[in-house]
Amino acid sequence: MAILNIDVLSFLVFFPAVAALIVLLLPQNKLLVRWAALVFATVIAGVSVAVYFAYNTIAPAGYQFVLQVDWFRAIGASWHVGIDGISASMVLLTGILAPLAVLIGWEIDERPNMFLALVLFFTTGSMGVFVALDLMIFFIFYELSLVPMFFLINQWGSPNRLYASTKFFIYSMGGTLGMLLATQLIGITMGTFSIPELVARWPEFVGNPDNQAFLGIPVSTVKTLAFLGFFIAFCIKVPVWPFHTWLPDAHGEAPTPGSMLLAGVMLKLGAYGFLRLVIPLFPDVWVAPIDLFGFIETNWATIFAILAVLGVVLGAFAAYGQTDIKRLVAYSSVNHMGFVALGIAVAALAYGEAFVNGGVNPETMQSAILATNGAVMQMFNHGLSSAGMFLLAGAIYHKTHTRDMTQYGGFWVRAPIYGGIFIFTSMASLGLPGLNGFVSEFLVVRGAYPVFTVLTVISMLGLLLTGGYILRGIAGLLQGPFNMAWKNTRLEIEPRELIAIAPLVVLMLIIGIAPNWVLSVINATVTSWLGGV
Amino acid sequence: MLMAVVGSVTALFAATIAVAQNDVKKVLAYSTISQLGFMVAALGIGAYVAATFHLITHAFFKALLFMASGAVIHGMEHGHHHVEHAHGHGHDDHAHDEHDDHDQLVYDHDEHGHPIAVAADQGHGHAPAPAKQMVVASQMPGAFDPQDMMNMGGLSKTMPVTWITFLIGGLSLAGFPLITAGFWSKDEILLDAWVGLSEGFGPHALVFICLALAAFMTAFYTARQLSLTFLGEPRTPAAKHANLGMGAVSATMTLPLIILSVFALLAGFVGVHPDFPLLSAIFSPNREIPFKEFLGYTLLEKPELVPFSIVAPLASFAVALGGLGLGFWMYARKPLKAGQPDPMVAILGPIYPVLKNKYYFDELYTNVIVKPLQWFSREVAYVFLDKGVIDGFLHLTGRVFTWLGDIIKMLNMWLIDGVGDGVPELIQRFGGYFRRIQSGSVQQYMLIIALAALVIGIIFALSSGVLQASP
Repeated sequence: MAILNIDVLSFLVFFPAVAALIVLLLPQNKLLVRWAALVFATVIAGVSVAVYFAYNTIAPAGYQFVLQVDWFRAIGASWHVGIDGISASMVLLTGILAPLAVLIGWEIDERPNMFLALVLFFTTGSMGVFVALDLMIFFIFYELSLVPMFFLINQWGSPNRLYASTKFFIYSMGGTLGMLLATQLIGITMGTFSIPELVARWPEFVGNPDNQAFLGIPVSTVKTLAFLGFFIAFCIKVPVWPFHTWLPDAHGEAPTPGSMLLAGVMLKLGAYGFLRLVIPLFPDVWVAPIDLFGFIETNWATIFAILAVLGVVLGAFAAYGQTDIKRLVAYSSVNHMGFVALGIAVAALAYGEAFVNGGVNPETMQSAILATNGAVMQMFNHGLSSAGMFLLAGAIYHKTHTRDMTQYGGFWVRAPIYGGIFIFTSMASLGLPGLNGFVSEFLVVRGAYPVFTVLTVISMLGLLLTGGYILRGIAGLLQGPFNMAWKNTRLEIEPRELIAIAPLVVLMLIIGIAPNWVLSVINATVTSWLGGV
Repeated sequence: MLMAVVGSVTALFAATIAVAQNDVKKVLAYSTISQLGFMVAALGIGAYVAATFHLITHAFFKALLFMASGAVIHGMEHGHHHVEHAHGHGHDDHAHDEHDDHDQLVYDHDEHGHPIAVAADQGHGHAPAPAKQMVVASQMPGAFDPQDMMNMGGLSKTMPVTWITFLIGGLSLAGFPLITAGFWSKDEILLDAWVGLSEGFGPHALVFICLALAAFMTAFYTARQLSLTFLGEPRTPAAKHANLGMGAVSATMTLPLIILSVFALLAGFVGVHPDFPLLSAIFSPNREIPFKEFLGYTLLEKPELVPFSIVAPLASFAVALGGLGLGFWMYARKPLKAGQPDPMVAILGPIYPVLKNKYYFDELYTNVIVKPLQWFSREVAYVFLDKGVIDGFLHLTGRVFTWLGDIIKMLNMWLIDGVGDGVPELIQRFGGYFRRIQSGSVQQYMLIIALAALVIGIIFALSSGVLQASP
């Protein structure tokens, strides 16, 4: 499939960058720049949707729309792109959110060219990660997505933006340092960066066949170190507790479109990295026994599940303890991404055990498939609902110039449409049956329960508190006595914001009622991937 | 056993709370809890049919009571609104405690001859939006509460349909003998408990005593509610003008009340025990309880008919009539005047505040669950863990590296100082050249980076064939 004679996935990666450059060089005319950016972003969305629906679920397992051309032959890297069901849904998510973020970005009056160009440029980075089938390409785009986001926060953020953007940048860079080393180690050892090839060969790698060593170090140690490089990088990005403290700052201080993309797309890069790289490349490391303090027998998958549950529970607690609306939503991301991490932990355990023992019992594998489906679904759903929540939080911040919920109150009487949408989106985020969040959280919990029973039960505490902080947000913002300070402020949602939130609201409802059009695409890939170990 | 105890205690516990409530809906709410206690207690002693029977009759009369109380509140709000405007200080914010349909309704009153209200409201209809609907009256200290029964009184004159239907619902709830549905279902539960008691079962005895007491209190607080709301003289101007000459409570509001009151009266006749004197000949001529027959098909095993005992209906008679009688004697014989305290306060003494405050259960929850939860969320999960431990560690790391950087910088300066003059000069010359593009403006940097990236990207793309489509 090709567009203008250019490979469609390559188009999706490079078109936003070209569009960003065009927007940057356009004359400083706000109207022109805004419309141009919106048109470009809509093209991205259109192509993403087309790619998603052209993706063939029935086709045999493997990647589709694959393109491999020589790029950096000396080190074995090539321009290698392709998608499976997991990446297809992520490409769709990125495509949907790009024009909405641009539309919300219209409210930026200061240097709109640069702002909108950065938003588009960010899309290049994330699209690149989702379609990359080459470890080097993956790494480059993973880093590339960081740069525009840093400037978005650093230049257009709220008062504490310098601290937040620096923390975000250093945190992420610090994480990817280990990832870079691990990437190089794997790539140079194997002589290729092609992900499918590495997935087939790297787990079998034993170094020197005589003594199981590589460069004089036992291979298991090398693998564990490489594993940790990826593990920490992606943990920071997801974010998994306790690597999450950059997130409330970055989300809180970022401008609304930045928050939307940060929560909607950027966090998914980490989770996607786990599914695409860490699980398939290190199945044996995930389940290798670890002796903690001499008496606790555990493994990385279990540790990861514990961290995930801590994220669910403590994220919910911290969200409950917020008075800042954007920080509340940010902590809700920690809470919700914890379920993604839990699903991934189940997948890692099942995949690892199947790899090491040559198979696991079918029920465990079935649970793992459910949990993985749930995790990917949750990535998609969280992308929709958190972007929606940030849009709404940003909408009210834009009008009141405060994020402090104690200064809100009773906004419903003045902004009934806004209130209705806020409650709807909150309920989707909370996981109300009939809306999207329920589908994915149910799948994760159903899949995780037989494998990590106690942890899943503990995570229910987080689910309870999710209800608590969501209702607290609704009560703080919409209910109670009206704060007379805002009696002359226009609080109702603007038509532009309404247009931007409408697709999200519609998708939340559709996925809540009929999730199969996304789930079947994900499921086909997950089933063949986990079933084929 | 556990169910029986929980159910009986709930029934009694909630009934005592309902006795001391002044909010017209809270009385009903606690009454609901109490009646649910009846049902659970009945299930606890195996009286499945009786529990279901009470569930159904309760659905009829409690729905009726809640809707009727809604009509009362609606009427009170309009009465209050009318009074506020008529007295000429209707431009206060708290006059706007009405719902969105408020303007519409007031215009309807035009036909009923209340020009003042309409005129005042028209003035408001065009008032600037911000002043409107700002504050819910009940949330303002000292504001008028249209749900407080102490503000009511004498509503039977202004709201006759609501009064009659409320009365029917109330009597059914109280279990007024023979003619109300509530009597038959409650009687059935008591019969089950009594039969068990007479056969010497402990739980049955507990259930019988608790439920009989609770039923007595039910009848009492119902009489109290009916009297406070509908009888006597109006205790506030709002109550006097409630319903605005019978206009506010429309036919769409009264019709459901009328329909439900028919059921609240008659629904009990499907469950008359075949040995009940006289009436059984009419309602269960086949020596079977029709309701039990109906329910029997849904059960695994059709329950056996409980033998009849005259003690149960007599007890039902006694508690219902006794409670109602006492209630009306206390509240209807000499209706409360405005400002007069509730006689319950004097009678119950120190117990009254305990009941009024629902045994301080809300405070218990607040202090045991809500406050610790808030404290933990804010102080432990957020401030201590995230801000303190994790961020503290990060900041410490940051500071250590900054400090290390400073040391290395000093080291470098010292080293460079040691090197000859030639090298610095060379650096200076290069520096001067580079300074020109180091404008310090981020946009320019970005532009340079973006341009460079694009050029490099295009070179790669052309040389690698990305731009050709895949075959």
